[in-house]
Amino acid sequence: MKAPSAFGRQNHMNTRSTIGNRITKLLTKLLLVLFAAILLMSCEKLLIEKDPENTPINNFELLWETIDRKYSFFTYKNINWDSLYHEYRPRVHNRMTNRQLFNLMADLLFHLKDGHVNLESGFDRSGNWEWYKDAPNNFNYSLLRTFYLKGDYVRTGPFVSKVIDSIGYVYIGSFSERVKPEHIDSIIKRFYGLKGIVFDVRSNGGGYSTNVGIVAGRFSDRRRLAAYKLFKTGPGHDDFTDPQPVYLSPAGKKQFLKPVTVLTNRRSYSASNDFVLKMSSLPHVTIVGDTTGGGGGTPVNAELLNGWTYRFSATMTLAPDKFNVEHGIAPDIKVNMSQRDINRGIDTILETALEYIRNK
Amino acid sequence: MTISLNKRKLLTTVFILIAVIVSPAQENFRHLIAGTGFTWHNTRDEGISPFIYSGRHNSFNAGISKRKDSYSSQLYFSLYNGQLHPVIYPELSDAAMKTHKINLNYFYLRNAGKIAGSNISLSAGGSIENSYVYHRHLLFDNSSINNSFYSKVSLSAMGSFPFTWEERDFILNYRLSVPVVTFIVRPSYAMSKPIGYLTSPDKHVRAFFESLEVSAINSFRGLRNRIWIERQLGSRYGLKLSYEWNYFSYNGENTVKSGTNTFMIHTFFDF
Repeated sequence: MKAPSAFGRQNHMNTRSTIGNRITKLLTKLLLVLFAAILLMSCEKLLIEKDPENTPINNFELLWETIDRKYSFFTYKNINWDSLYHEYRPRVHNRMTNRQLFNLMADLLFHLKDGHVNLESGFDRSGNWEWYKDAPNNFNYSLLRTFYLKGDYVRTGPFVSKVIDSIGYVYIGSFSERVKPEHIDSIIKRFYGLKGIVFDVRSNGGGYSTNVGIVAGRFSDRRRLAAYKLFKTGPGHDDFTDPQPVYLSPAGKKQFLKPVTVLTNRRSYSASNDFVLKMSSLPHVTIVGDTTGGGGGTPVNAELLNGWTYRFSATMTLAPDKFNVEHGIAPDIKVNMSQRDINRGIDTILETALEYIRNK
Repeated sequence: MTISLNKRKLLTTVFILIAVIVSPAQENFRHLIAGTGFTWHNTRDEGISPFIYSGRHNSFNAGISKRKDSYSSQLYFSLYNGQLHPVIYPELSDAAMKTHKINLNYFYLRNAGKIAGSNISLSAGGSIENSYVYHRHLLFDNSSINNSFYSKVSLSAMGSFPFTWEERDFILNYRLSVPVVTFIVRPSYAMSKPIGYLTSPDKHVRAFFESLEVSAINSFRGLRNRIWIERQLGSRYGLKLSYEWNYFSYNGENTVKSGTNTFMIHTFFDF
């Protein structure tokens, strides 16, 4: 094999050297780009500060501060949140167990006296159900089923309906299930020729407020002022927008404009309270039963450093006369179910509502 | 500050921008661009959570680019979707946010000449960058959906460095944009939706404009850095590799700090 000449070796070495230089230059450029990228990514870490450490004290501070800035009823309910901080904060320490921390936080939140306030961990859920605890039940579904529905009723989406003595009866136990327009439209169509409708939201604990507009709109004759909403605008306890009007407008092909009664009890809460508020803005609607449970604040969720979540009211709702509906809406006709009637298979509130429509 | 804008004027402006971009001017190059890649996203939006959420997004973009001796312009549309997790407790699988982001950006840059004694050409101009961001928090049963909209009017500068390696021509580009005025629709202080959407839930366009805020650099600060290398592979097509770091902070009713790092590969065609 012939050895390469000195010139050939030199030429080969020059070529290798040139390629090497080119590769070095390219690598330098790529490294510069990479360096710039890493530098920018590092800047981001400096610009977005780290989360606080997950400790009982930090969790307590975060809960207290978020509620302090965003909860909507401190002034209305005359709650001194600062004094509660001074009462509870000394009891928090970083050696406490999750159960101890949960109980302490639940006790703190209980002072807000709000059914829309809950603390949720993987092992428990706190809440305050005081608003109906001492009130009469005023609803007995098994009595309703046995003596009124009698197995002969129509179930349409979340609604149960039946004609009782030429008057339409509709029951909805929760607004949590989606109400489709066709659900309520089919009921309105069936009951359109009747003398009136009894709409029962007793023990309806709420759900989606979008459902409320869909249903109430089927009873509305024209656009009417139904409520005012106040939204938080800042961290102060009284930092709210001006009352923002909320209107109820007719919805669906047909609206039922004959006498309507809405049945309520203390467990008619949240979206159910909102339904009663909207319906009570209509002149042909009469509320029968007990004061609703209230819950006029829209609940929002938040989270803690340990993964627990909590929710609280972040708005206020006023009736058209500026009455705050957080503690409930009084009925037009106040009536309780009597034990004597229950024993005889009579729903006193339903009978009062039927009688009211018959006499209209 | 809240302003109301005439919807017709806004649509007309968008139409004119698109018409300018696609008009058959005597440009030197006009490209169709499409790209895909991934984005690493870090965000702390106190309107949703006090914590940092991080995660990967899939990214896709497509657009039109025009380059003349005197100016260059680009209109492109980007989509991002992915899932973010809280950095503080990554072990909770439910504590996640589904995130979708849509961008529609327009850049216009006038050529400003070359740096003396070098091959680096500079250009300067402005951009309009519109972002719609949708977050859905999987741990929340209420107020889980959070929508934001940002429209940034920015100053932009760009440097281009053509070079040859292995007898192949490349262009290394760097572009910087700094927002000057930003139009923002954000959820209200304690809610997940803007006030307009809560009081007029059926009138989305009206609710949108009712909730629009205007923010200058005192409350909205941002920086968009993009570096990319491009290579013409044939007479009518080529490839680009890009890295973009986009950061902004907004000191509104709730503070937002968000950074994205996007790596993409693009192909472009002359037309």
